[in-house]
Amino acid sequence: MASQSIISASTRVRGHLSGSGSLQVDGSVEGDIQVDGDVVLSSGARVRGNIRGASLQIAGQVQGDLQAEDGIFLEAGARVVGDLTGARIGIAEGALVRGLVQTSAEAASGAPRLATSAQRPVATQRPVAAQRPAAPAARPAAGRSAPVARPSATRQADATSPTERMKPSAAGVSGGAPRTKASPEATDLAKPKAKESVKEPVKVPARSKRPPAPVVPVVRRGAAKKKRKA
Amino acid sequence: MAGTVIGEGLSIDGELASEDEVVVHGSLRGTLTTAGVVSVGTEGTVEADVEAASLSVAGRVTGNVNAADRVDIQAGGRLVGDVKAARLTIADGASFKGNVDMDA
Repeated sequence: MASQSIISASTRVRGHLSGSGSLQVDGSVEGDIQVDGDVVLSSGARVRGNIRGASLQIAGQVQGDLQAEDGIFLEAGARVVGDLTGARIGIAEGALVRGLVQTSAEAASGAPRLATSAQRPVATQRPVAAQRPAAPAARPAAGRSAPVARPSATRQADATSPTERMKPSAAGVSGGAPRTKASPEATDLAKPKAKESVKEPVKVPARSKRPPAPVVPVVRRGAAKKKRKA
Repeated sequence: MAGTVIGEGLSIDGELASEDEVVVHGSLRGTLTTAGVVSVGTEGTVEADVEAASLSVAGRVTGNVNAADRVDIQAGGRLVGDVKAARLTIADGASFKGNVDMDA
């Protein structure tokens, strides 16, 4: 039978914990935890270090990455600064997370994260199934655009939402040498979007008015190329 | 109840400091400091200097022991290291190697 270990509330461990069995932490641990059983962190627990286990149930504070073969469940009051990786991940209201959250199925498929996020609500149970049709559908759309526009278009398509993705490709089809207003706009807006969140489009109209039309695209393209190389 | 339990199969590398009971069925390397009782089960292994109110050894302990109250080495238990404690008992069948200081 698997053994149960307990780090009591008044106990403080500095170092690594590893081995078999399950672990309950009520106190504090500075160091990595790696067990093949379940790990439970009660509300008073503090861990600075990475935690790996079959399943993790967290109500305390963690500064480090969480990795579970089965599931990670963050209860109300949990505070996690670090990345979460598990087959299933549950985050209760009142839990706080700062870091990358990833279910293992997605990590294995290797598809771009943001592009698939739009599809996720449709099939919550099976993210893998949802991703597969999504990726091939995106590629032909970008391929149809003019060769000049393509590298930037495909690159940004990863990061932008489905509606944004259409813009650069549409501009590529219609636009020859005299650039339409749409294409610098699209590149301009897509670049910050890659780093920032979905709220960005609100700023777009103000930005597109600013640059005098013919000069700016050249500068933008140069800057974009530099960025790409670096 | 409660207190800290290092279950069988679990090993800790580093310092462990506590205010209450510590039970070791697994293994601990480093230092162990507590205001409470420490007991090392038959399968427990401690390679650490131990500071505690009292220590009971049924497994193996390697390291110096400083107990405020007492140290008991039970049958089958094994202690290698110096002991500083007011009271020390060594059961028949226990093994012990080290200096004893009962001057408290």
